Amino acid sequence: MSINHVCKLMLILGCICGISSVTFAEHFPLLVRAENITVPPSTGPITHIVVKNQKASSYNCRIRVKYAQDWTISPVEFEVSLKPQETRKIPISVDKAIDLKSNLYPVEITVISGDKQKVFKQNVFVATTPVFTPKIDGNLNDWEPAVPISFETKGRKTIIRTGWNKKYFNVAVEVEEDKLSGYKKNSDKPIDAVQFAIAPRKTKTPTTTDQKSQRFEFLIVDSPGFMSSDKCFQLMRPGDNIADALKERALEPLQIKDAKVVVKRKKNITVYECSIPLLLIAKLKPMTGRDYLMSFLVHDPDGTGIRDLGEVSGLWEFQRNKLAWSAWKGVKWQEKPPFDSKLEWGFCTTKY
Amino acid sequence: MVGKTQTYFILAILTVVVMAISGCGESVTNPASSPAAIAGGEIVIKVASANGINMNHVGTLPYLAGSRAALDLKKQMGDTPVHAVIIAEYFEDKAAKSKALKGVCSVFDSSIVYGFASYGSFGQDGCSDNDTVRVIGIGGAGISVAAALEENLGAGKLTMEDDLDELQKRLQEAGSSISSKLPKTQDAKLMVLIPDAHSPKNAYVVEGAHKVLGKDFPITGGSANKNPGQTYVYYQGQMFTDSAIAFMLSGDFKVSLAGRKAKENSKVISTAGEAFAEASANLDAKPIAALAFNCAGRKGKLDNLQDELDAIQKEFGKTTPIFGTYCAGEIGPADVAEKPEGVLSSGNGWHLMVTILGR
Repeated sequence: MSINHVCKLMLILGCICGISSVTFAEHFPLLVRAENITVPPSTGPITHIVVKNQKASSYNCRIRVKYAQDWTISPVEFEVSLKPQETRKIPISVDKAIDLKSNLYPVEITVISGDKQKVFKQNVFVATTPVFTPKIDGNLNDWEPAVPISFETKGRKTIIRTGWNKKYFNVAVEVEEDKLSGYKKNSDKPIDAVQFAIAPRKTKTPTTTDQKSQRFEFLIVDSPGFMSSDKCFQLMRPGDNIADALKERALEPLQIKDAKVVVKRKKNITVYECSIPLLLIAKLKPMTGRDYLMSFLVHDPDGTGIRDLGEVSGLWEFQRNKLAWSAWKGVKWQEKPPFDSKLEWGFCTTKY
Repeated sequence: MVGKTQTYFILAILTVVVMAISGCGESVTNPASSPAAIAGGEIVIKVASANGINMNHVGTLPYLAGSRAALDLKKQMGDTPVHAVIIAEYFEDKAAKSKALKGVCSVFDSSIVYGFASYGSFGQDGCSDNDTVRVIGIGGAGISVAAALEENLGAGKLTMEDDLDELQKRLQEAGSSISSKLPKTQDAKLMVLIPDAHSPKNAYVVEGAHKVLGKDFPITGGSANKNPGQTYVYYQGQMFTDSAIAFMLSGDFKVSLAGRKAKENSKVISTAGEAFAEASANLDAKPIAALAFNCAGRKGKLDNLQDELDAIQKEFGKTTPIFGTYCAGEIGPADVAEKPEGVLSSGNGWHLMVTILGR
């Protein structure tokens, strides 16, 4: 048998396996996701695997979880019995691990049901907010203590960093893009911006417009012009009518005066750096080890469109929710609404 | 024109003034020790706390918090000679921490004042968060306290990804070095170790201590706050970073240790009660006081801080003093499935490490 024949045979076998796998996947009743880790893994935190039974009948399976080779976790394997449509979070204790500078941690989750099995592969981030005090000046040299989250959208890079101290919650976002379109008062023109939402742990995004918001939501923008300073707007507070999220409101009345914002261009990168008073989000009860929920949207209307952290964090398609993010005058949504704005995040002390 | 001699004189005066203001420059005695314990002698251990929150919310008053807590402690200690005062404070920066320390030193001689930056504390009077000081006083002829300082641990910026071997080596050496400074007399009962080493790095310091004290010697303690600019330990009234302090408590008293791990609200609460119950059950003596080194991460998982203390008080009562602190790593009996054989105490995270002293 020639090498060509072997290759052809392998290709055919590969296709058969592939089709079989796709067919199984199409009918696979379980959705699986590994949550973000909220403090550095070396400190031995707890994280979760979330599973959802999509069937109208109950579903039993065995799940095997594997993080990096040298990690010790418990449990490694467990049985799950889910009622119809049930979603369940299974705690996974990380007992031994090493923090990686790349902040990309591969997870392999194998679901075994009868004689079938399916392997889900996902990269999780450590989404954590260490204590430090950066100077808000558009220069990120003093953000070294942060744990950056990097992802690509249509080949363009975004890097997100968060930090906190007793007085401020700090955010820095680097956006690779060709040009920066800034905010102008009373203009409807689409602009570049960074939108982020923060919510206390255990809160959920409403799915109907008659409910109240449980999140804090902010928008930071460049504001070009002599004597003009870059701006931070507060789009939502807990207790606000969630229906307001659908209204394209004017931004001017929503500006927060005591936030510090600097937006700077450096070659093909836009740097957004923002500091908001911790008192504004006191409901989170910030303290070391405290979990909360957070996500980011980067608006790049003349480039990649919206870059959604939820999308690269393994959220499920049905977790797109129009009510998870507030509209504003000048926003350019895409065909599908963004993913939920509640990813797992945490306050920590340091990455060292 | 000012001459060279005059310039040197002025510089010397300025240096003395600056050092006096900053509290630096005073030499410390390392190691230091109180007189040997006398069998049957009095043992007095008391705890006090105070907050430095300005009622007008203009700012914090760390000096006042330090001096208030110390005055309360002094009152409780009465005429008993005090061997050591250990403080756990949670203030934001060096300046505030220094003031809190000075507040304590305004009441007690700085030569017996030790401590560390924590993430808050708890005791029979409640849970304390930001801007608070908690002090424990150890005194009486029946107990002896020896203290030691180990500077320049050199592990602050080393990572386990890049520098694991170096990290282990430095911290194990530090653990051995500080342990060897302390007397392990026949009546030595407990080492309290407080390193500037976040878990899991604290494990290496304890491994170093094992080489000197043995794997079965009772060791407890907690890691100092690791927030940048807050990583201080205090030795004889002075501030040190990248350092560790340790105490050896000796006398004819008994110690009982227990450790419990938890990472979720309900389990944090239930394990706290379990740890105190186990330590109490194994003490076989009348409790004098409890040391409780708790994880700041556990604190973060609590919906309500008081819930954990309620569980503790349910098992331990509300009268025997508790010196509880939230730390960046805890030392004591590990609550893990596979315990290394013969090892009593190790460095961990997510634990509440309880030690009850009794006689």
